[in-house]
Amino acid sequence: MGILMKNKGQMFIIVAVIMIVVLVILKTGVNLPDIMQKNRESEGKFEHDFFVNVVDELTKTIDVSYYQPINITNNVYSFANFTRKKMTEHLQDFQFLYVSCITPKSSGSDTMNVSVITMLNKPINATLRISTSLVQSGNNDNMMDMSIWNTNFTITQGNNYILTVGYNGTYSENITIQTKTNGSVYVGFFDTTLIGSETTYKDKFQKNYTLP
Amino acid sequence: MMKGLLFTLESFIAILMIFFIIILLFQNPPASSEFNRINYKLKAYNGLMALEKTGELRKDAVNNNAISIQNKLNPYLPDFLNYTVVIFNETTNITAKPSLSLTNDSISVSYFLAGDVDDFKPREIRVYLWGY
Repeated sequence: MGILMKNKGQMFIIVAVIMIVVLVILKTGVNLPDIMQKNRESEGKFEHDFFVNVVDELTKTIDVSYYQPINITNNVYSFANFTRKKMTEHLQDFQFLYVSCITPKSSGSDTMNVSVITMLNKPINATLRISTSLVQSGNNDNMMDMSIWNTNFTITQGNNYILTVGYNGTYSENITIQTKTNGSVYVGFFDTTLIGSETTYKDKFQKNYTLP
Repeated sequence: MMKGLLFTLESFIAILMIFFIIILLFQNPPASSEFNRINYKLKAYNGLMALEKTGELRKDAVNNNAISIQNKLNPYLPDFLNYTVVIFNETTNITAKPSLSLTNDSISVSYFLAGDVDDFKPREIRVYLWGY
């Protein structure tokens, strides 16, 4: 006690150092959860924006290929394949199911070409069924990943149809097709999934075009 | 008297130390380097998005003009940050990649484009950032 009373000044400095250490620990500890939360939010926003970019550009593929309708579906396949490879390099998993329907510029009875693209990391048993007066259907029993299945159905121009796409007995989606007399129609159905570091992003939609 | 002076000086030093540390700690929130990296990636990405909205990014990408994109990104990124834009097609890089040494801590951001009107040309615009 005598030593402490003798060295009062030094005791002040020692107490000051201890207080500084405590303040630094408290400050760091209090902010760390905030910083980690901000990190997660920023990373999440970044991944979401990235997903939106890919989905927007998949749709844009149809726009840029508009004057070469015969190439639209193959271009969608090329672009999806391209982005998927790039995402794999970033350890992200991109899954994609695409169905396209194209009708010619004609009237009366004609053929509608339908294509299915699968990039689901697994082979699927794909099925198609169209709501024509005599129901038509088709299936591809062992559709491999990264493949395109092309088929066709007989339709009457000017009528509206529901095309049901399914796979493995668990997945089913309806696609509405409004055909036009003397007008060529292209319908693209997109089902996209991005499995990111912490969140999975999904988007499913249909786009309709009247071709030149 | 000397003892008293010494005592006063030591107390004063102690108070000054605490005072300055409090100012240092509470002046700016401490930021983790990881948060800064994500922040810079977002800045670069937002810059690319802004250029895409004006249509400039698409035209430059289809024309493989990485220098033009690099110049247009300048207002969106901090001055101290080094960056290079590289354009990739479906198979390889069309423009030169930066030669970054192993000691450079770098990050990259990618933006995809399908092409321009009547010109299907898949492109990846990749921005490499370092020097943060």
